[in-house]
Amino acid sequence: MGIGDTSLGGSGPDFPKTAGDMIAGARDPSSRVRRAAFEDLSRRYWKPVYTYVRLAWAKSNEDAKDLTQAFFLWLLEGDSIARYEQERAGFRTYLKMLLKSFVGHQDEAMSRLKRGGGIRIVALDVKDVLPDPGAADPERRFDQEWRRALIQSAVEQVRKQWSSADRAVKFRAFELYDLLPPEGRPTYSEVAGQLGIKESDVRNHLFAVREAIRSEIRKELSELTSGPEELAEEWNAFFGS
Amino acid sequence: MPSSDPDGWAEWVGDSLREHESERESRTGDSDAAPEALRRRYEIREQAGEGATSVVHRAWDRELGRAVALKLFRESAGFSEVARQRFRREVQAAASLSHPNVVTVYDAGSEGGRLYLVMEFVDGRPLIDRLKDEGRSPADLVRVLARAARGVAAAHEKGIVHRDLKPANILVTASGEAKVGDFGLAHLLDAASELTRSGAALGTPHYMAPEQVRGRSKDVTPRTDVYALGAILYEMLTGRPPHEAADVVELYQKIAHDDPVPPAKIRASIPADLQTICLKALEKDPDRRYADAKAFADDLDRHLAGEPIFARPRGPVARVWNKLVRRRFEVVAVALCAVVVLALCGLAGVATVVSRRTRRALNDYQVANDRANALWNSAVHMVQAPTFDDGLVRQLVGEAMVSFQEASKSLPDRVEPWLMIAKGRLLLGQEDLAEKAWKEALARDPESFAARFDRGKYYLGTYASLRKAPDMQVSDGRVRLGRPPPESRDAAWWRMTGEAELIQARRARTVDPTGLGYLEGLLAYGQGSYAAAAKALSGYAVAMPWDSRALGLIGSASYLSSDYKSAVGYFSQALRIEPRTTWYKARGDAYCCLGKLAEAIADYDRSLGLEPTDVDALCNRATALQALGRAQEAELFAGRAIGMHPNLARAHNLRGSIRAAVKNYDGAVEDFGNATLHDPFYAEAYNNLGNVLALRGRVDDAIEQYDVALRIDPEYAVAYSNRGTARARLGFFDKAVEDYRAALKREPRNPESLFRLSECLQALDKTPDAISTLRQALEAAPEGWSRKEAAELLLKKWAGN
Repeated sequence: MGIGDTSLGGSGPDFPKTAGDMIAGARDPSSRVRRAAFEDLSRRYWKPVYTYVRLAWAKSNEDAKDLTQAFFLWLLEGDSIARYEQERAGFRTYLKMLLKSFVGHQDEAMSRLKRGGGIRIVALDVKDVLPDPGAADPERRFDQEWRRALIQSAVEQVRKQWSSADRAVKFRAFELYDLLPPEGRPTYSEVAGQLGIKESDVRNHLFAVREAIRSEIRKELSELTSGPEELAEEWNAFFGS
Repeated sequence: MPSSDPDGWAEWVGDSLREHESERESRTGDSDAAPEALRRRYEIREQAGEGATSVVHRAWDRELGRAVALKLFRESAGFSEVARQRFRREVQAAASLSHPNVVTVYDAGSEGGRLYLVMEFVDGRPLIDRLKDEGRSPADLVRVLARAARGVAAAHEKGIVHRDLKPANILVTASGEAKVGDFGLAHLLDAASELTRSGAALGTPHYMAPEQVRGRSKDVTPRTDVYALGAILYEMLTGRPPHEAADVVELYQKIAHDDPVPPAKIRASIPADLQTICLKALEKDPDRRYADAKAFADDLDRHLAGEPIFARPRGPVARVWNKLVRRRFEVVAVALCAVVVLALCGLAGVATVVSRRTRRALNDYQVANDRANALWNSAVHMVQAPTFDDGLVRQLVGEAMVSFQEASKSLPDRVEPWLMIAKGRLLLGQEDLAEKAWKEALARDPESFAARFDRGKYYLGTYASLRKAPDMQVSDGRVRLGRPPPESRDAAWWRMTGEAELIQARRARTVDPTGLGYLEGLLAYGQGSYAAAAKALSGYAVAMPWDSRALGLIGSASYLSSDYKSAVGYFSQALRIEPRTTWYKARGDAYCCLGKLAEAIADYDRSLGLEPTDVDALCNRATALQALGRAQEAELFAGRAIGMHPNLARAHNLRGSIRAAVKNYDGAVEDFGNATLHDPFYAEAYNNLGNVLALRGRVDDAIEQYDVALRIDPEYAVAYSNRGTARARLGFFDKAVEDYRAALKREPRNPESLFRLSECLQALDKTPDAISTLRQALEAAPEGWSRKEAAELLLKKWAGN
């Protein structure tokens, strides 16, 4: 398994630029730019949306996928994203509100999708991944998936940035350690052996890469929240005790 | 790895990051971890201070066993290699300073890409805190400043200039000892570029000397530090810095040109000698200030000892004379320059002895320049025709640029070819190449107005175009502008870079007032001062009638400042050059405001002809039809808009309004409901829904909708007013009064709100208040107000009781 295998909802190109760029792109007068921004949006957030739809609507996997598609199509055609004002509300909250209101009218939504000829924005490649649809609170799961998406995005950014010769080995150390489940992790010295570096280097590299990821997450959150108080709240939700 | 969830790794990374978070906190005690190498030698104790670009920790030097202050620059500060080298040189020089009034620098360097400074730890507070303390006698403060000045003097002796003196980097210990720190660090912050990229990161420029504000770094000498000391003294004596302004640009202007108010005018108790010292240090002309910090400190000490000081005060006549001479000198200098330039060009026919090679180069230059200009002019000429071949124009421009480059090779010092190249690059959409060309131009002539103008136009033009005009709202037959949106970070960046160019343009050698006006107009437009913008920009339109973008902008500015006739004129000019949907729509809007609805509809149709699904054109056309009383057609058009954009909240809201106007309340409720479905934050739709529900007698439901609207937009005056009306209907007069007051707070002289408020007050038996409110309503009412008679009758009735 390599990180590249993780299907993030499409065979799209490079992972996106910042969240701020994406939102700005959604307002761009050029329809080409807008479309690219919405592809971004759907690639990033299809999982939390799908999770919510699946749990809140309790339909089958296929229906949930269709509804997820419908939601993103609806966003593309409307101006909800363009109307988003960062100062008023965090993006996660805003998207969730839109989603709730959308799902509340799902019959209309489904018929709209059919009328639209079923244009696919993003090739959803989701297997039946929810282990226990009955038991979870859809909103909480949305938030959880959202945060995961944020981490994924941050890791991708750092990966891209740390691809030069001297830094690639540091990221590799991170991959060999942090990207594995806690029970299945190697020891520092095993990682050191694999990469041909010292054990103390492994510790330092892990620290450095985690710092970088942390910094990316912070940057991203600052573009998706309405101000320092909300940023602090979101931060606590991520890292609080 | 479990195959059930290929994204599970994000969870594990999340766990690692959580652990990491607690680990880093225990390591450093603050949010910026010190690099490993530094932590080996210095034991970080606690954070002692923080700035935009750096953090200061109190630490213990394990090797030498002493307390130090460790100043770490943030990685995000992103200093260039050049800046770092300068930092190293300057700090090394500062490290050689050893004086009781200077914070000693022990070590400095770069670790893990981050710059750091290790200094003597001073147990004291910055002077800025002391200045705020009550009960500190002025003499004490002056003593402290005199000692600080001695420290600066020691640096001047070694040829080191601080450049960034301010109360924040003068530390004062409990025993009153002053220590000046941060020598040479101002080098890390290069005036225009860093300032504008990081916004206000530099902190206040209140202590910057005029020559610094002008960006003349070669003119920075010890006298610059003297100015700063003077500014600090001024603040000590009067409680405020010598110049204050609403924003940085204005502040720079004042520092460069205005004389400070003499301190004794602000506080009469200030001794005359202190005022003299202060004003001498604050002289605009560096040569008139103290030669260095020592001279300043000497005079201060003389004053404190009760001895006569050396400085002589300047009388008011001398000050005015000086100002005149300053201005005249500038004018003379300009004239001289012009003559010199002409002479060099050989065009003034002044006889000069030139070598054959120079003459040959001049000739080649002329040939290439002429050719380039001919090509360029053809392109410009083509663009002014009603239709033109875009590809051909680009070709002409491209060839013109090649010729300009040739010209530049013949006479490399000339600025003009580079200016033209920049223009051409912009036209071809090659913006980074345009930037390069401007850099070349400015390298050859840093005071070139033309370069500053062109570049400023680009930056400020982009800024103006990013600042979306606020929504127009039609209510009560009036057209009102909504609030301008908050400035995005992007827009702020363009504004600040543009402002920097504007400042430089003002200081250029030969300033063209029309051009300057244009830049100022662009800035004003972006900031929402549309009337000022239209005025400033109009001169330019006369001079450059082919600049369609400029014409469109002036049209918008006119429109937004309610000068609809001019707006139509400008848009028409722009449209003659280039048919664009934006301008057709804008002209249509202007026609609407002039009541020329037939023309407006024609323009919307033209716009739709170019882009049939343009929702703005559809919606505005519907509105125009409604205003013409053709409600059925209006409804159809709105329906078309909805059909093409079913998820567009605005279209639903529009049709709802049209339906409500013809009393199709059921239809309106459906439409407004859809609008809120498609945009849960659409305050206006909730308000409108409330209105219709109220008309149907469902007042409670209406209030709920107003509640939502106000939760979304707490400044929505009309919603308060509507809610007040609804509450009054249910008999809750005191709540209604609250609502009307809230509406009036946001729209103070609204006669409707005043009228209704007076009715409620009367219902609450507060007749005197009711009467005075009603009077205010009548005063504030426009001509032919529909409620005028009713109001007058009520007034008579109440006053009669």
